[in-house]
Amino acid sequence: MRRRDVLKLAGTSGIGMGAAVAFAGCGTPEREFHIQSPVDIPEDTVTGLDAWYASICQDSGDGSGVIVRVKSGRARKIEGNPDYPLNRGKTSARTQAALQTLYNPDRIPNPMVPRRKRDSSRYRFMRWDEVLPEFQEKLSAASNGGIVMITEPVNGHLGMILERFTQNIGARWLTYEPLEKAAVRQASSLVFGTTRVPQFDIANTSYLLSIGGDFLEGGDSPVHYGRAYGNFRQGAGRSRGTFAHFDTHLTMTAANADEWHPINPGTEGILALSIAHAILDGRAVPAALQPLTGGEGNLEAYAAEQVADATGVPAEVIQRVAHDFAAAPTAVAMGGGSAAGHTNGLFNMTAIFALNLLKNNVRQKGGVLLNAPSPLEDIPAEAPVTSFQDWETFLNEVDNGQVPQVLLVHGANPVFGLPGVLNAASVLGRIPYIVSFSNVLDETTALADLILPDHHFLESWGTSVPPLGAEYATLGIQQPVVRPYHQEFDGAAGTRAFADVLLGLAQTLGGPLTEALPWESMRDAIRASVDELQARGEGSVTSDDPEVFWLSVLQRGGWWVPAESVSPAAPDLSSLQVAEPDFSSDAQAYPYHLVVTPSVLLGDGSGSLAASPWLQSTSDPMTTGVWGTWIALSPKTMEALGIQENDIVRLTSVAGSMLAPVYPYPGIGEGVVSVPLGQGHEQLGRYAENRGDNPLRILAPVVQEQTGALAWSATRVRIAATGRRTRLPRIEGITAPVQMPDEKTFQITNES
Amino acid sequence: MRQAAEGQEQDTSKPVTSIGRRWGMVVDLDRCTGCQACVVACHAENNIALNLEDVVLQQRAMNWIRIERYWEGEYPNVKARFLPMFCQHCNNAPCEPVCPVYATYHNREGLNVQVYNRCIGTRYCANNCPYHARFFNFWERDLEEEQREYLNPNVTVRTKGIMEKCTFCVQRIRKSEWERRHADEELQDGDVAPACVQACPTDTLVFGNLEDENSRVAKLAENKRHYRVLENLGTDTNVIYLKKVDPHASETAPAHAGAAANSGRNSA
Repeated sequence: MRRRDVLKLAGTSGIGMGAAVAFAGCGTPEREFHIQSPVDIPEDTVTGLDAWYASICQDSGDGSGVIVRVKSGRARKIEGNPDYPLNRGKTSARTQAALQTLYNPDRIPNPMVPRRKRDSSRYRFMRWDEVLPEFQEKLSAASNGGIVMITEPVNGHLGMILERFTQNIGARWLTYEPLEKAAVRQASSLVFGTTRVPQFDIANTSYLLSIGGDFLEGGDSPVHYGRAYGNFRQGAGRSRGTFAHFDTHLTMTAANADEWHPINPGTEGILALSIAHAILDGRAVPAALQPLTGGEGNLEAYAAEQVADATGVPAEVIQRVAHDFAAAPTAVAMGGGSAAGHTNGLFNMTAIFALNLLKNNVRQKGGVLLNAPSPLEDIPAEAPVTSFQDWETFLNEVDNGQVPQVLLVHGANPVFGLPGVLNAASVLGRIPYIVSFSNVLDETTALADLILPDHHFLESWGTSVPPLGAEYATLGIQQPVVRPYHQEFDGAAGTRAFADVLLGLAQTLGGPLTEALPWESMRDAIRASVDELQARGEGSVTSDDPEVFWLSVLQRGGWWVPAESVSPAAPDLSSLQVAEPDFSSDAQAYPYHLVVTPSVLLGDGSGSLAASPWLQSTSDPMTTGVWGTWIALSPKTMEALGIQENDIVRLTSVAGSMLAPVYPYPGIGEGVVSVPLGQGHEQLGRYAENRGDNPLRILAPVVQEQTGALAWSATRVRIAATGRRTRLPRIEGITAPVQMPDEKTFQITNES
Repeated sequence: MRQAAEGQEQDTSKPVTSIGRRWGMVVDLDRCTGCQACVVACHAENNIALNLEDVVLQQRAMNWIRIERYWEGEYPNVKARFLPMFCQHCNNAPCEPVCPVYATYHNREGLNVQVYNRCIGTRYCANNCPYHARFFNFWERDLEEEQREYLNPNVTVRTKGIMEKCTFCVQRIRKSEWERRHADEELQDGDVAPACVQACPTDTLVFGNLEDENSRVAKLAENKRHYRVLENLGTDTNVIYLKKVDPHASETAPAHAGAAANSGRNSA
């Protein structure tokens, strides 16, 4: 949209509440305009009026509540919404960088079709009215079961619309989550009786035991847990918490622990049982936990001395941690990260979570808090996740000739994320008609026969049920804070909200679809739900007037009500099997264990985060690497292999190989290799494409038996030098304070 | 012109006369997780040039605030420490007396100020800063039209040839002042939060008036864990750090272990 268009808009459309183009008058009184000599920093003198709108950030991965500063019709800054229960005014680096996914110069501005089928190099721009009729025809023709819809796991209203749309049009709905959390979810359901992963109350606990958990950089909400962590350390009115962490290597979360101990990959569950054995200290295993013992009735086989070799954790450490855990007034045990990505991920997570039952801390302050359900029954808090096994089956079917007629893709990028051996690009490419709703050209969109670009989340309506929130049942509302940057105007095509396209189709296709989705737009759907909430007369906003209620809810960024206590099912571990980890290949040919690590900045590489130069150029907390992929190796491994820093090496697994320079990482053992996720895009615009390499591609397609999820920690690799070198761009070494021999820059005390 | 005249006549080794307001920050190292939210928030607020790949490789990346990472100890007793570093707004600032054109000076609120339109780019100040908090614009900006849309209209877009650094988000200070003044009120503690402080999930960073003894920042600055980075240089900084608490400190390293004692690599 050009400046002229803004003026035209202002003239034609009128500007109301909820519309974001706000023209602030010049409110500066005369006396402020004194003559200013240019000897101050210019910022000293600037004032002005801004408009701030509350919304939800979809780039942060957790649906953080945000307030967005809008000036001259443009979003200028994103801050946390201080009222929103999930993040209380705090933001992550990813939330801050959402401005760059909004004003991304490589966004797709119009509907487009490739000039040649499956050729993503040249496109023809189209208007919506040119492409929609054909699209509708194809959908109607395929509606007897020939449609497949692929999305990211979405909750809130979009989740509800997708569910109803796919059900009523007879489509198959697949959701794609690169690092599946199926083991964490199932373990939550076995141990805590709730499918939603609970909220671990680290803000109020005195002892935090974390086995493989990556809550500060990955997990459900790094912002929520970051805020809780600050309170855990130095919160007012409490003493400093103690944090013990076990992980395959020194992750960012591990770096923040008081003690970190390396553990052999896949033995996290065994360690947890050993800690349980030490906690029980001869007492009988509680009946609910009996299945954990492998039917032997006790945990003697897991005595600290027995498992020290297998886990790589010294017996005295196990005993001390168990003692501290048991003795602390409040304690909580968390898990996740790579521990959940083994073939025995479900066992690992169940054993770790079960430690909380020994501490009897479920629904206790400083323990495990169960999340409130969605405040509205028909609005899901969680999306169904398609397991890796189902993905494999689906791709096999297509490969064997059961080809659907139409494929719809939104927000998911399976071509980038699925292991390379599945050949997702060529298999999905057989589907005759592929429609992508992505607003950036990602690897899956590159296959599309038609691209119908979605608005950015700051330009469209939506809702979110936060992943964590024990105190409140929350519905966060995402409203358009700016007009679409590429907007439909005077014949210009522009982008269109995905949900509105689906609802438009539901109207024209008729039948049960229209009945199930009676709304004309996402805004109407949300408004209907908000009217339901208004009728309840409780919660963060109350009003007798539906219009006042609606506006107040938008202003607050959502609606929440103190949660009623959840009554979970009793723990049921009977289906659990104690399991050893199973790796993709033998240890001799592939001697190193590959750990793929989600980046606190780029996540797992899904979405368009890698297209943000801010996120690309911000230093990785541990290595300070930027703009690329690196392979973190122990200096000892490097010495043994004769590899130097910045040498390009090849990692080869049974499923493929990748190239990246080596970073000498002091916090990793000799048998482990860590590679960050997020890079290695072939598409995604100028800032992301052809940069680094993607370790997801070389994961062996090993399935977790009990969950059907991809065992993404179960890949072994070998390392080979290539003889080539490069310079990994990184922030470290560019600037550092002068270091004085007698005065340390970073100072430590052992008194809290 | 009055302030400039003051700056010229003054003995630059002494702090400037205060007006009952001295902005300062407390950094609690025990809370910092190294999450980088402050870094991106600062870029978004202050129109800092993009650190593209070749700029980083040239060692010319600009970060008004950065998280330094220090390795300590040997595997498996290895630790990584995080330290947010930015302009310390020294009361005795080494960068100020060396500027030949008074582009950097101390204002009466304790801010170390960089006047862009005076700067002629000698870079003496950056050489003299022991904290490496100053950055020189080596390149003209080359922004796409879309990338101009999110620029902060309250902050100058600096051009090639001048020096820049953390301003404690002076535009936010002025704005809060202006808002209070027009309500006929005094500035209150907590009114002003620089972008990094507002973003920080763990409340590591606390900002306020160090001369107001009731302010949160002044109280925290009295914490028994307080220290200043490179205090022996006599820079008298307005940024106070609170030591990291490590109950095992005596087991793995001397209680005052830091970068220089490292066997590992140095920090950012």
